[in-house]
Amino acid sequence: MSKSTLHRYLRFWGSDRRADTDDELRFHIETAVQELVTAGMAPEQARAEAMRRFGDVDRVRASCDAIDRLAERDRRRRDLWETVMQDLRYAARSLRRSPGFALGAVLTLALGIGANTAIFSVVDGVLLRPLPYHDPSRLARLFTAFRGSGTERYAMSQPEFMDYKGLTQVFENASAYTGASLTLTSQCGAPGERCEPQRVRAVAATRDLLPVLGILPARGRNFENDEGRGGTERVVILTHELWQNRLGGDPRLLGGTLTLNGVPRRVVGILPPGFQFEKAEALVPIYVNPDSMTGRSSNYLDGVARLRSGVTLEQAQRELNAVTRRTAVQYPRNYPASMGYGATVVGLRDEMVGDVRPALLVLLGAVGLVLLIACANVANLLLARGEARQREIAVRTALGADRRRIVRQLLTESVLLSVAGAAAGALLAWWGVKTMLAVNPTAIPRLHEIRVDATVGAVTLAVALFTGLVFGLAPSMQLARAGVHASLREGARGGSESAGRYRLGRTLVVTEIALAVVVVIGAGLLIRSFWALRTTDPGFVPERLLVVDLDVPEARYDAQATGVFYRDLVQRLAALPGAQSSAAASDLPPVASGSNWDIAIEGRTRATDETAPSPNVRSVTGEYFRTMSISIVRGRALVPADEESALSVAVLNETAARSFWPGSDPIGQRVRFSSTRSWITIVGIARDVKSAGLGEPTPPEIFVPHGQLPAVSGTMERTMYAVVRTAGDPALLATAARHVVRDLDPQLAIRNVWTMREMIGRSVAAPRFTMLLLSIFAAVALSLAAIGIYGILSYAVRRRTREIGIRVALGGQPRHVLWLVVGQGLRLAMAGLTLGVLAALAATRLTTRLLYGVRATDPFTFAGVVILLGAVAFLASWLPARRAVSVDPRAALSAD
Amino acid sequence: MAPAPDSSVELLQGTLDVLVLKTLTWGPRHGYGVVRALHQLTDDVLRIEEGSLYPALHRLERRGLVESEWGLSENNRRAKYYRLTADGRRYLRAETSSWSTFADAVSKVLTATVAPA
Repeated sequence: MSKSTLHRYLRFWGSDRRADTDDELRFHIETAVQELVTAGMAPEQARAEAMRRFGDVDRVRASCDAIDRLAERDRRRRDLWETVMQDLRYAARSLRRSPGFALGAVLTLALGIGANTAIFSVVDGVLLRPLPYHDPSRLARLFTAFRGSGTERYAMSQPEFMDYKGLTQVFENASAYTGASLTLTSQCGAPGERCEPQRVRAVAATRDLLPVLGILPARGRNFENDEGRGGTERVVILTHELWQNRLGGDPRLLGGTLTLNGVPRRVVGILPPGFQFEKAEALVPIYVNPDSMTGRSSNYLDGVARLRSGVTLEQAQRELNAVTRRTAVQYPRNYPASMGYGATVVGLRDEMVGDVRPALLVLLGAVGLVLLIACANVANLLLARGEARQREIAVRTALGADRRRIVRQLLTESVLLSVAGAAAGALLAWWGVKTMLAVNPTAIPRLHEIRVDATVGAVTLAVALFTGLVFGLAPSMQLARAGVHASLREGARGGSESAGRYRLGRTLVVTEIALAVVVVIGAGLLIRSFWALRTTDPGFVPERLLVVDLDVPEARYDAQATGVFYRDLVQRLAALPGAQSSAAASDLPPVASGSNWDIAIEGRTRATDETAPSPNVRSVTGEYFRTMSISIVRGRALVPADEESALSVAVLNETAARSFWPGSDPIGQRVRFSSTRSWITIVGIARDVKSAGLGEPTPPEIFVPHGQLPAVSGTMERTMYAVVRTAGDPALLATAARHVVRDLDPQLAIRNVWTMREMIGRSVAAPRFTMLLLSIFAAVALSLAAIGIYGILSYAVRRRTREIGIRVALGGQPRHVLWLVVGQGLRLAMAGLTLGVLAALAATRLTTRLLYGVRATDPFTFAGVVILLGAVAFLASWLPARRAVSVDPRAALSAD
Repeated sequence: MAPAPDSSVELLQGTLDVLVLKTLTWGPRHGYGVVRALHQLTDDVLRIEEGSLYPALHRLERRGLVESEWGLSENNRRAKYYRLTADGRRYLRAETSSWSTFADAVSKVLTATVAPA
């Protein structure tokens, strides 16, 4: 027998598989040799023969080794699985024995994990999931930029779009489009049935739109050739949803005609289900003339482009910069240097969701903190429970259980808790997301893509496992360490191990408070910001205003007829019982977008490199300022007589007056739009209103009588809001207002009838949504922190029952005992508050973009939150302190 | 496991496993014992490359059809003995019956004297 065999006998267990195989094969060959020799063969010959019969020894050995390695792996897996199952059974049993603890822990975790799952599903749907187009990462939005006035994203003119589209080294294809609103007056349901005119949201786009998005019509075809050009047949492509839900889904519709805006259009295609682009329900073609190099100042097109594969946004931006620089040199009259003409390319997704990203990330951060607080709480619960289990663990340690194994077992328990919490949390999230979507239909883009799905589920599970480890690890280690020494002794309570446990508990509570401070301060800031937003003076009186959104089709209304229609309309509306006055306006605060037009001021010459003043143009009917209760600062308001007067007049807002006539009086001055020759006399200055949004600065505005618009600009505004100032509740006039519109023209579709209050509410839906969610999270964080403080102090009181008993027995005042405990709680709270305030100073900077009218370091919010949390901490300390005072000294001394 | 150079009859894929299991039904054997038994039982008709036996044995062990234990051989040397497990016995029974069915069917065809209709 060889040395190696002996060596192997020295190994205790386990086996060296490789050496075993060697031995096994050697035995075979040597036995064979021996038998051959016994049969009379010469030893060398016998060995050769045995080897021949055996075959390739090395190959056999290698095969055996490979099989043994696999067998070894199988065995390890089996062992691991068995221990895990054993641990799980053990954990389940021990949790069943303390259902109160298990329930508390699972609910706490469900709150934390549920909030995370809900917010993550929103983040996933809005920020992470790819857009529903072919290869969406290559899609980008194109804009013209006027950097001289700080405008990065502005609509393009036809020639500008053609310039950009021509950059074929970076763009594979590009499409220009613009929003269009259509009124459908045929084909609503069954033929012959009388039906209401319907509004259809449409996008008017060049035929490249679908190819750029990489989408083919499910039926029919895309736009062809120069469809969209004047004189060609009018066509339309419908979305599947419009076709199915509002047009009855009749397949014969394809190839048939629909009357849209008073003219027939042939349906040439139907899009696949789920198609979405700018909320369009239908596509109509527009034609951008590649040869038209005029009209550079008429900016109304949006653009979407597909980048060539491998081309980055930066490269595309460089090319755009180069081409716009050349164009600016070529057309100095269109693009004076001070205008800072350029172009901007932005990823399509960024463009769509860029606005909500900061809010979502803040919410995600907040729920992360809530989860950490939940973890700290459960860790505390585990510690308290450890008290009761100390002996069990000590016994197991004494019986030879490996400490690692004990830690693993305790961790299995934590993970089991967190997975149960995750299951409950997923339900909570599912319900929460449903509620969120119901509450908030407009504030978030891509809303319909939000759902709790497999990705979200996987993330939840990962969070749960991670959570289980986070809250389980420290207590398990603590328990396993403590278990080794002391606890078998009688009355070990109050010993050094439980002091260590108390220390860990205190650390957890301080952390919890600090995290809660951050979340609550964040919520406080948003609440204050929202309050500031809602109490902002909008510059007009928003109460008792009814708004009717309308437009009249160009096919049946020329400029003259349009002016007459709106004048008739506001007269009839004003005559309604309960109405005080009425007006129509092309844009209404706080949702005005409008376009800015360059104006020239009489007697002022402009250097070629100077930018023209460019106010937002609002066309309004005579009673606008009176109806909206916008005060006139100087001069006079527009009056109904202006509408038909030969003298063109306009009113400026304060911002326009200040920025275009700094230090001088614009009243009596004359201006004109660059496109026409007719002069407009400024007759008044109106107070600034929050026209672009309650939280947005007021742009310069010029108000022109609607009836004079064609004369001074050469265009007419057909999409208008009619507003009615009412004596009582404006909603009561809604039906009457609809009837007025129908009486004037039964073919018109009313886009919306709502109150100004609703309009304002809608305009601040997004910040309200963020504020509400963050407040809910803050409430959860606050409650969890309170429970944490209460828990740790109850534990401290229990631990010191004997000491307190002695104090009371020796004549200690209950008051002192009370303050002893409360003081302990408040010291923890102080530490937590200090840390939390420091952390909040750093963290709330992230909310800056969400805040309006309040700074991220707002001292009132900080102070308020510190007082609030201090009060909560005091209450949470008071209850255990009351219990301490009521300790019966005799019972306390005989305890333990 | 290439076939033995001068094998008279080649073993069908997987057959070796069953044969090995069968030799163990009479009690534990070491690898050499299995080879010897196979030679005797087949009258040396089946030529098996002896080395190929060992991967087969290890594979059977991994599948839990046999288990092994070190012991002393007839000539007083340390040898690894394989024993059939309960699973192995069950497996062998199943394989044996399906083999018989197969062999019967094949031999029926090969020994047929009347052309099928």
